[in-house]
Amino acid sequence: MNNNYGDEFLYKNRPPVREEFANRLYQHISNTTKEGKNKMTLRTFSWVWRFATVMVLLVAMLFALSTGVRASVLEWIKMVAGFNVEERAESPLKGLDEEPILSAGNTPVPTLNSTAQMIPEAISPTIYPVTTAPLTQMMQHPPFEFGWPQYIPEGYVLSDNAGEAQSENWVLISWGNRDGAEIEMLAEKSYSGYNIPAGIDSTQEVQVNGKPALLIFGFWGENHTWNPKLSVALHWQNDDIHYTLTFWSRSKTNGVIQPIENTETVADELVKMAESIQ
Amino acid sequence: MEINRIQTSEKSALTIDMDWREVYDQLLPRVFHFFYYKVGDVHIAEELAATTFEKGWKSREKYHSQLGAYRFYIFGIAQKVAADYFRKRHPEVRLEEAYDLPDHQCVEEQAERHFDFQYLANLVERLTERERDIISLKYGAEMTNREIAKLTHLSESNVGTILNRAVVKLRQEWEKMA
Repeated sequence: MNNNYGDEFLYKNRPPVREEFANRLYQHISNTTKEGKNKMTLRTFSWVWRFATVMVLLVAMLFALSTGVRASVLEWIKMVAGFNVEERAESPLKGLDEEPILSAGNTPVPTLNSTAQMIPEAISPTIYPVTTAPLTQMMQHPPFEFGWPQYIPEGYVLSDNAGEAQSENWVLISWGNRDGAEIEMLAEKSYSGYNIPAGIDSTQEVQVNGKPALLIFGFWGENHTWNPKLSVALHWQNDDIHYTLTFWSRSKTNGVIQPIENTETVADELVKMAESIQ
Repeated sequence: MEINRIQTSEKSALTIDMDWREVYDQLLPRVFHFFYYKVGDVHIAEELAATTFEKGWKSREKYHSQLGAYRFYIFGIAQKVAADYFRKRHPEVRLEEAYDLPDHQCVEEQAERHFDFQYLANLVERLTERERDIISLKYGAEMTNREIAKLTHLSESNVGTILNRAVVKLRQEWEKMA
């Protein structure tokens, strides 16, 4: 303490900090910090899963372009609501599990031969990095015009991150709620007819504003096998834009995808969102 | 060997936790007193101190080896919180315009110590804004003149002059009461 000014009274006559206040505040800020860390973890998981979704899509596109492979699996491909659905018992990403190849920059990197040998002939997936940017930034310069749902289920908040393909052919936007559930909307410039991978007997045709739409129940889970409770996805086209709404629910503690209790209710909500697109 | 390594790692983690609690215990009174001298009210000072820690606590790990820098960072936040408070919710009203100092009857009704706190806060509130800012940083945040100069962008000698003038005024009033 500095007593040069005869200022001791200015130190002595300050009210003490109430102990109860100090302890409660410490508890509060400690908890807030922990929640923040959990949010970061969930966000990280979130983008990992988004990336996985995009990988599925890209592999599917390449699969469709490979004539040899296409011929050998034609019997698995069926058309639902105008989309080519390729029903598979196992995830198309199974072969990539041990050695994922990612491009570090803008140039795509072909997979190594050793990886390609583990998956069906001629499939040599090329994976592009997903560019993410603040939503506001993406909205200032959207790669193409697309609609926004006017209806969002209660409790869901728009994420401030958006994904955008380097090809500028699609964008990814998401909403999340406090319970770890997430709805992603992928808007693609146009559907070129590629195969959409799905589990066996996992699809259903529904109507979105009187037009056919494709519902897919499930996603590949452990050991790359299809789990009909892991996700619900709705595909439809509007003004040439191909939209996909996908619902996930993740554990709040570790970010792992949890089975959905009532997939039919989720499907109804996704259709409602789809019908509100403007 | 492996066990030893784990134990060492756990010990380090515990030490870090303890340090941050200590930092908090050391900083909270200073932040609280800083606001107390700024606003002259215990409850508002608690509220503003809480806001400051809510804003500044998350970033503490960036200052792991620089506690002095973290303290400075916290008081940077505290200054903004105080400025927001006066701008949004508490238009500047000089004490003498708002109400008089407590009268004798009031003194008799209150505990002596509580009166001292309140009386001193009221005296501080009579100072000019700049004097009050510097008194808050010196006797609330317990900063050195050099630190105050850095934070307020005044010269160290200027800080000393303002402090001296303010303390003389306060002491004269304080001694009258005594």
